[in-house]
Amino acid sequence: MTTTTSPAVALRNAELLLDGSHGAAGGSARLAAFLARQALEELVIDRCVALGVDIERPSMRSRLVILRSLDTAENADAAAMAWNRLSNACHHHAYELAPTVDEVRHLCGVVAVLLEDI
Amino acid sequence: MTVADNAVDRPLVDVVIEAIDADNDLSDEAKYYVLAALEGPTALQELLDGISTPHVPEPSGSQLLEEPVGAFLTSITVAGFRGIGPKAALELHPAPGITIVSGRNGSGKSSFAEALEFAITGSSYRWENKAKLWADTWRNLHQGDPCEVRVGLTIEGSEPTVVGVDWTSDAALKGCSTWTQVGKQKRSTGTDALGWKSAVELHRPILSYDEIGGLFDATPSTLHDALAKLLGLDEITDAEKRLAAVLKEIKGPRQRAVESLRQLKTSLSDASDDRAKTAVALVKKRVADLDAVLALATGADASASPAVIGLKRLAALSAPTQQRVDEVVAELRAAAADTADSADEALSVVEQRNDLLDAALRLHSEAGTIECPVCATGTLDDAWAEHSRAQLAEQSQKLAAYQHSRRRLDQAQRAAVELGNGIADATAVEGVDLPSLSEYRKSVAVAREQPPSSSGVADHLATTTPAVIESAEALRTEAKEAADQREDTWAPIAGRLAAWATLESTAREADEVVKNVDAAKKWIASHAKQLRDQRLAPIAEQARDIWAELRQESNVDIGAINLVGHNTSRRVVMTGSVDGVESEALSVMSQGELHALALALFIPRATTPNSPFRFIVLDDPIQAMDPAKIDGFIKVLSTLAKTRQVIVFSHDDRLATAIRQLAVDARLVEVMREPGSNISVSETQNQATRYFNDVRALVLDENVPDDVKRRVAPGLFRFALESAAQQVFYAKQHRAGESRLETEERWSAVHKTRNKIALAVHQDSERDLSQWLGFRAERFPTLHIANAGSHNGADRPITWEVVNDLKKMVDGILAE
Repeated sequence: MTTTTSPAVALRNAELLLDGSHGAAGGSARLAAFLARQALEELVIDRCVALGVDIERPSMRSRLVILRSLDTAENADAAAMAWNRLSNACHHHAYELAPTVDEVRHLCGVVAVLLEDI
Repeated sequence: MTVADNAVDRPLVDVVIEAIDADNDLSDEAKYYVLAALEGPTALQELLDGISTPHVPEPSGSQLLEEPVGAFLTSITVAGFRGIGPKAALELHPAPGITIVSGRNGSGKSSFAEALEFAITGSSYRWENKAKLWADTWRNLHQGDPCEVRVGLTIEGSEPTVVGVDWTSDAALKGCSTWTQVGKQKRSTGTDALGWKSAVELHRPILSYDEIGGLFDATPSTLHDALAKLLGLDEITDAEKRLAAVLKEIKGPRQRAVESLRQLKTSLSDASDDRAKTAVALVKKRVADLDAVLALATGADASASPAVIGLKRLAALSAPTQQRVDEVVAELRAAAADTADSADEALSVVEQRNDLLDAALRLHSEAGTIECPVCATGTLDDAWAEHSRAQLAEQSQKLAAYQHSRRRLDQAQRAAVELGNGIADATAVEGVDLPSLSEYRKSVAVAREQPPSSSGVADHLATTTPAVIESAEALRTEAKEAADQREDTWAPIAGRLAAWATLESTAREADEVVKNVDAAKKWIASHAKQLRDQRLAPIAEQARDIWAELRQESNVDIGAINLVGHNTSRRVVMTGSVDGVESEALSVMSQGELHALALALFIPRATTPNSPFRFIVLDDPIQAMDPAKIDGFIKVLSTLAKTRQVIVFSHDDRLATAIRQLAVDARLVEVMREPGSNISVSETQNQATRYFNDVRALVLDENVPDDVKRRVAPGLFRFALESAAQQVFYAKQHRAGESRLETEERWSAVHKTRNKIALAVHQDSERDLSQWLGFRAERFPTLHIANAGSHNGADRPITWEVVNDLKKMVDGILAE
């Protein structure tokens, strides 16, 4: 995935959104989830690169598997869990409520841990 | 085992017996009440009724050997029970790790949980309430016969064990027969052989959603009671309740006596009767003389009321009858008429003359005819003598007649005097006004003033006595009425007095018992608090840790947890802070937070180190949880799963979905229900198959270059093989009764995948695995890929064939 925004900036923006500093009216949780997922995907790519796997095209699922195999269990768990949860938050679901600000903040926290690690 | 654990896990009865022994301030009687109340309502009642003799129950430590044994679950097999018709088995992995059993509502998954709970805790104290709810619905409607539950267990230091429950086709829920079979040994009745009796109640290895969710929904006392139960304190709470109930009952006589005394005092203060004053004096004493009170009430004490006695005397006042008066008067008048008043004098002259004649005659008879010595003119001759004798006889006759009349008159006069004397004096009665009294006294005074002459007396009597008779009659009537009236007002008071005396005497008998029971109740109340604090402390500590995980983004921090109040005011007080501001935690928590908190409170007890249960079963724990809490919950479960077999029944897929993302040792089991209560159970995933799925996903992704696949695959292969090997090794170890710690040590000591598989296959990491590896064509090549380092990667492309080989080998290990 190509993007010019660094994961740290994206994550920061997400957190600002959650704090209400960006003045977005409603839906901030979902917007923040988009940003956080974007940051996470960047991070996972960076992590893969750091582990010597520099590839652009594979699916996120494959990347997570690569982390599972090559990275620590904690990182792999955190990335997989956060990505699935954030992805869920980024889509509309018939039976599930939109994520709460607190939930997304929690997930941002999980992503931030990865950020520190890399 | 820590000191705290020791304090928590000792059977309550032992603790109480020890504490009560050491207490010198409590009377022996009160101690017996404490122990009987702990034993149960029947024991308490029998002690109260004096049917049973007081006794000290044996400390449970000295009864059966209740050495806890560490147990994992291997399977739960159920037939004809609750939602399960034909026999269905839930196979479980007897080792630490998480098993998520998912199934839709009504799929039968909870029936497994309930069957397990019944088999293990069925004979225990806390089952009673639950059984009531189920009275008619515990047997499967489609196929209720055969009806049985089998729970397979591995037990440290022992052979695999089965706990069985059987019901005959017409048996009630409680009419089951429960047995335990260790290895191939003979079955023993009940589950006592496991030594779990007290452990089940203390550790609560099985927690259902109903229980946990209901804790906060109902009254504040619900959570209090549940925690008390969990602390093994419900027995003491129940004992307290029993004593309170008994106390209320036996205080009845005293209360009735007090109430009766109050009414009595009111009626006494209103009464003018002099007996009332006596009664007031009697009941005023701190300890009244009940015999005296009863004597007063029943009239046995004659001196009680001078007024009534005086009135009764007046009522019996004697007065002459008119008839008698008439007789006396008539006789007196007749006698007086018969005897002249002057007769006395004449009679005397006649008597003297007769005496003289008599002497002259005696002289004549001796001296013959002589001159008269009296007159000296006459001659006393024979003719004179004859004439004189005749005269003398006539005179004597007259004289006798006169004397007779005279006596009659005397008698009549005496009768008149007696009649007068028969008129009684009337004594005034103090405090009673009788109008006729003065009338009577006046007439009596008049009547008693008799004139001297007989005829006067007769007239006097005739005129004055009718007034006496009449006023006496009036006085009697008045006195009688006054006396009756007194008795009429006194009777109800006397009744009350007697009733009070009876009640008071009953109350006095009960007082001693009340005193002892009250002392027993107070003792229990004060010790319950002490025990509670002691037992709650370690739990509160761990609950805070678990809460820290579960709460995630909750802004509520919990601090001290206390059980406070009693009877209807009992509740749990949890201090806490919301965003750093002190607050009562429970009141500011959301439903989901409360639920998480309940789990945080209950999980520590289920997992104390010395619990014999290596498993914890949670029935639908996440219903009210937000996704973020589920993450925290999985963390909690993962921590638990390091040392415990965690079995979670869940009605939705959220937990399973979350588990799929994580490298947690977890297996997913699905329960489905088909028509006729046919239940099918299948394991859909375990850790090894999840790694395999990862490999599959990777291979599927054509965008991943081959060299990357080669680099990534070995790690996943290794995880998959080792995970499968670990499952098998742990299960085998626990089935053989080996300890969990030793199993872990042996597993951790081995590093190579090959040796780990050897552990699984031969339970010996050093044993040669070549034969096993050579048995199937895929095994050597697969192991070869797993052993390739991630730097070099696999030396061959990761193709579908290679992936299928991995699958075959994983299945091969799991089949060991």
